[in-house]
Amino acid sequence: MADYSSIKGNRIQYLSSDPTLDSNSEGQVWYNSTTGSLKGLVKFKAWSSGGNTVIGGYGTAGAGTQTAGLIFGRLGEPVGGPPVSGATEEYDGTSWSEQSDLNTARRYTSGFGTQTSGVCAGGYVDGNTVTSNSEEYDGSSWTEGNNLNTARYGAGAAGTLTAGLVFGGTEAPPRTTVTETYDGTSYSEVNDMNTQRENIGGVGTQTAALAIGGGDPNASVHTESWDGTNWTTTSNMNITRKSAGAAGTQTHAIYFAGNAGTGYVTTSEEWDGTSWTAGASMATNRGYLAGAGTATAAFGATGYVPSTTAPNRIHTEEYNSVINSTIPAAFSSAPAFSTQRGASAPFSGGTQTAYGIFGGENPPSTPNLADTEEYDGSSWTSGGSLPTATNSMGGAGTQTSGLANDGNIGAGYPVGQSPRTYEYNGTSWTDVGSGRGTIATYGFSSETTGTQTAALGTGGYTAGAAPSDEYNGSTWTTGGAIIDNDPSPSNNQIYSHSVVGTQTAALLSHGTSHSPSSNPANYLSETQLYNGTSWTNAPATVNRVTIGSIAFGNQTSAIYAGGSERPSGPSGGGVITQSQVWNGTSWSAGPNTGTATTYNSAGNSSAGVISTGANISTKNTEEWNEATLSPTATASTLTTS
Amino acid sequence: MALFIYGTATNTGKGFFTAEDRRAFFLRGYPANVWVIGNNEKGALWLAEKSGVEKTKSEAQALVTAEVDAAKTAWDDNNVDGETAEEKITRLGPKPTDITLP
Repeated sequence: MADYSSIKGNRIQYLSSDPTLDSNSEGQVWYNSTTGSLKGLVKFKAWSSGGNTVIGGYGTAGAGTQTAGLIFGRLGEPVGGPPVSGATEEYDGTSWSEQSDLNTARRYTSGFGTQTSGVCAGGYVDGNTVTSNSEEYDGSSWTEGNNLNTARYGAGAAGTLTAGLVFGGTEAPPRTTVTETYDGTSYSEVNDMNTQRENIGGVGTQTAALAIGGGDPNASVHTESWDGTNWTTTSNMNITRKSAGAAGTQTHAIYFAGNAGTGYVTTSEEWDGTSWTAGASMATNRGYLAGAGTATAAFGATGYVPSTTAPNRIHTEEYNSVINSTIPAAFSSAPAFSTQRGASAPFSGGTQTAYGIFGGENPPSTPNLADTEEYDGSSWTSGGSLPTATNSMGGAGTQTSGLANDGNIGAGYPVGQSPRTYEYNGTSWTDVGSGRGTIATYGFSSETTGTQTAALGTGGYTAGAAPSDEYNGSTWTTGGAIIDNDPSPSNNQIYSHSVVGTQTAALLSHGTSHSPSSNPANYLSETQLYNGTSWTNAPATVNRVTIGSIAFGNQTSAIYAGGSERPSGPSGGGVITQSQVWNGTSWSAGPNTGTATTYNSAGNSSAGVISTGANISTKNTEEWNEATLSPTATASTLTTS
Repeated sequence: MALFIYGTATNTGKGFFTAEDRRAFFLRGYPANVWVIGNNEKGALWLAEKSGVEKTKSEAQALVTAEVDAAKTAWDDNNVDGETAEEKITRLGPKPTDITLP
């Protein structure tokens, strides 16, 4: 298998601090020796929902940025109202607010400039008339400016109020190639485009613009670049489109949604100054939308959504391209607990910062242990003692509301069973009654999950029965029978398994059905789900078949790690470090633990804690954290290296 | 396992779906507030958190079809004396067409 250095050309960097970001940062991987984290940089591009506009419609023009946006004109609403509208709205990155209307209502107009200094040029006014009218916006109202020399609608536009550019569009028809500049006072005709098109996307400045797509009349892939004097045909888009949104500059732009000729699409493409590549898709297809912003932070608002009536054309989507640093999911070392204890039990409902273990055995000096150790995320302290020193109990609840049931008080297995239930209040343990059932031998490798008042005890070292039992805070009652999937002559029992979740939504996996467990056929690979009444087999089987895995999470999202693998497994048997991740449907390989370990754990699939529960030679503790992302820089802040 | 979950939910604007949502599961909006959602845990959770109502594919398709049919009728009935077909399309946009959910 190829390693990182053979793919990347050099080894993963070992750094004491994160590197300085530059244009080559995306894809970098390094190890931060100060934080002990393997890190990488990943660029994410996605469209998300923005604020709904006050007034819906399509044929709207846009200007400004994602956090200071401006839209104006559109097909008139409400339904049945005027066919064109002068509605103007400002966007603050969260919500739209209605402003003063255009003096001349219109649709399919062109916009350029900013939220406080914008221009509306041309368009299609009431009576099916194309207009040359141009207006200027000062952040509060529109005033008449000098008209375009060529009346048109569906033109592209770029630049600012004092240095604008309008190009292409339709003159009533025919389509036009005429280009005009605007200096804040009047329009001047300059050199024509190479190809006449309508409903073009326009980005850039008066001296460095890009004309994207558009209809001739069919949707096209054409792209032309303007250098302040001439238009030059450049690389085509990959997908024909017109009536789409556009944002960015001549060297970095995005073109999104629109009519592809065969229908309206969600597609976006990104321009890097040389060529177009596929980008992230919007959630809703639409055309004739208002688009503005940059190629890393844009918005698309309103628009013609096929088969959707006018009042629903109010939606905005925001595009963001962000470079994040990612810290992969991993187990990391944590302080060791004080007393070596095999066959101890955890508060399985605990968290990474409120966890505890109790009981167990530490032969030969102390066959069984009664004490509790509590973990607060940084250190271990002593807690209360069980009424009777016991190993192999089931453990549930939390550090301040814990539950322990059944177990072994003898010096061997399976003798000296203790069918009792103890409750913990954060300070001391109390014997509150009998254990799970009349079969005293549940104790060994019984697994319990849930809370002090709603717990689920499962399995146990009891031939002839593989039950589960439910605890309501006072008494245990029989729950559903765990399914016997063992094809061999079965003892109909399951133990050394792992269970997570709640009394009404539990996940059970791994384990064995026979003793001794040296026979590979005795190891169970199935996954079972409990709904509060009965167990069912999930179709997924585990990848690494073990007994005594540590497990935390819930029925739909869990981590199983470590455990003793069956002799026929990849490790050849023995305690392993590998973990498996359950997503509610299937198992996949997860990160390794630092030290091979078994049994005790708590937490959820985002943040958990594990501690040695059977290997009495160690007092190992590790913390689990899922992969985290933290924005480090937007692509636009990167500098050329 | 089915590739998609179908449901209805009203797009309330900012935060209705996030960039993280878009990375975590497929999401596509259709008329009648119908959403087609990638069938994974986060997709299902998203629909629940948006107070959405899960539909079968046929139920979702029926909602979309009804909306499309209504839009077709509205388009047919919206006429201006003397207007050409091209002018009508310019004024209203093209006539709505049938949509088949994936």
